[in-house]
Amino acid sequence: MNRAIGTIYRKEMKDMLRDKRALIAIVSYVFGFPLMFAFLFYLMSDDRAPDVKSTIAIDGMAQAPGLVAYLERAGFAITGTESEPVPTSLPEGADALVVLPDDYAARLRDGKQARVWVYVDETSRTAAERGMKASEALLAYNQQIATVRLVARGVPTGLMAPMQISTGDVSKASFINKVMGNMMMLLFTLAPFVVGLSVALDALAGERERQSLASLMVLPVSSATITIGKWAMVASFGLIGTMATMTVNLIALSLLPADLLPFTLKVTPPGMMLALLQLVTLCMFVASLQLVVSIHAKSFKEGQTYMSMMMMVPAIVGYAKIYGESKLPAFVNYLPIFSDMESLGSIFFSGVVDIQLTAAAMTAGLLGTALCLSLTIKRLSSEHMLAEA
Amino acid sequence: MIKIQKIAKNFGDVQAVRDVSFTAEDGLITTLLGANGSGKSTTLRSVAGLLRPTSGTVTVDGIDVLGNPIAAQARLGVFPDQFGLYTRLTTREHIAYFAELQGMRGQARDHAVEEVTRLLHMEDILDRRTEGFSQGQRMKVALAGAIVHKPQNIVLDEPTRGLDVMSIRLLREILLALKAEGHCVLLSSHVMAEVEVLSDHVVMMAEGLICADGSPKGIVRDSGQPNLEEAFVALTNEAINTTKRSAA
Repeated sequence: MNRAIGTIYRKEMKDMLRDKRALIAIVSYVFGFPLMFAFLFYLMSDDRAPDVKSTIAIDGMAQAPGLVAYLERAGFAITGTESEPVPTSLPEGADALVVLPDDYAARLRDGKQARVWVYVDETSRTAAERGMKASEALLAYNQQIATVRLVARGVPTGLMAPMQISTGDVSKASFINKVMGNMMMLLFTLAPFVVGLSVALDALAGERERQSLASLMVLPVSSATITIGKWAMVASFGLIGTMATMTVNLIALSLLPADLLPFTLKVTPPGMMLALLQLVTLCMFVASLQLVVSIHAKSFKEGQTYMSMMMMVPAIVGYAKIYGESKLPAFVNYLPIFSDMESLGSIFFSGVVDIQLTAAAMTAGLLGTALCLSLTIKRLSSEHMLAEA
Repeated sequence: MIKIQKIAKNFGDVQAVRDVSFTAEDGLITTLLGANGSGKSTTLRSVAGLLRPTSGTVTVDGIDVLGNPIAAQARLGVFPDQFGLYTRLTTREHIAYFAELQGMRGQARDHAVEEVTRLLHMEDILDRRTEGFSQGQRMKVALAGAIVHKPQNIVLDEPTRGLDVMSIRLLREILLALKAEGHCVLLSSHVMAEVEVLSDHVVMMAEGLICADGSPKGIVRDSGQPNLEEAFVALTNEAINTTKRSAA
């Protein structure tokens, strides 16, 4: 039996390595996502660079030396500008445009209210946030002038502002950091699904489509031997693709400047070993699951439809974990995919190995593999399947 | 030797084969002759272990196919009615794969591949991938895979379907050579000329039943018809009428 499994494994591997579809699936997934993530991190890096000064363009700057000095102390870069009567865009490089009326200085001197226009661009979140900061700074300046006037008239400042509010962030990681970290783990978890899809379909649905299954089933090898040989090939393919995905992504992340990364990798050698073991069991499970789907399809095309539906499951599970983790009951962390993402996240980002979680992930994978393989073997040796072969 | 005893096969309410018994002896070519849907393929699939008869037994060299399918299949070389190839493998890799699954390894396997290649005159396509092969070339590759391990019993389901004259002549020569070596050859066909030339033993089927069993000449003589084709038409019609009367 072992020799026949080896024969089937070698033949299937040789066959698949000559299949352009299978190779394209690996290459595109392995190299496509690091590029996409690098681009995302690049876009996000602008959000998180606190030392980059926002620029405020002021029309009528000469009338407001106090305002300019206040804003510069608050960390803004100030430029003078001549704006149109009704501005339709911000000056080049400016995050906000402040338009002061011609009588700004006179009204301020007389203790009257002066109307100040602030123009911002809310096309993107980054631009909107920077514009918002400029508006907040102007309000603070407004408050400061009011306070000075009241103090000059003998009114205590506590009457105008009874509370002085300060805020602080106590979260270990921001929401966006968590999302990006979980997305990385989902990327690793989905790798065997994507990479193994084509080869799993060809292994059984392909045999039925090209009408070669009968020739195989009349040979003196059992359904279990055939299934295990093909499963081992699909699992190997998935594992190669997953390892390549992980390696390329980790190398790509290590090459990025630290301030571009939304999270910090803290993986240790023992943690990496455990992560590899966990990914092996994940690939075994995914391959067995894909063969169950493949054997129920009469053609590659039909199988692709089923596989697309099946692919929605890990994607939904992954996104539920990313966006709804706090609303999910604790036991879901012991289900496949959930437990894999949780355990891998713990290994990669905390540098902590949660043995209970990792063991749960591996046990779920092994049990799922056994169940799926037995279903495939049963189906392959069924009267229905053999009658159609 | 392949022995079939009282096999029946039902697919739901449809009785594809009922009470079929015959023996395919070593050193003879036995042909199942029948129209489409007469039960030939179902019978051969039961022999190959692809179907489990509802009742009755099939033995290959005394081994019960239902009880010990792996051992029985090791004594068989089967050329099924649909023989898809692995188009990304070469002819050599294809045949070697089947040889290995029949338990052959190393030099024995390589030698067997070379031998069957010579037998089927396919040296020119040995190291070509099978994608784009003609029907004749595909037949040769599939047949090579079925007989590479020199099985004692060879089962072929309508092997000449879709083949040109030259390929049919080659196949006929191969089957006669296998017969001369003492192999048991069991095939199905509905081509009268082929059956008449090739067969030592004809089992005529209609409506899932055997309507005649004997040598081609014996069947013609017993039916009182001038040739095998007329005998086939007469015996088949008689079987169909009998079945209808029984059903009524």
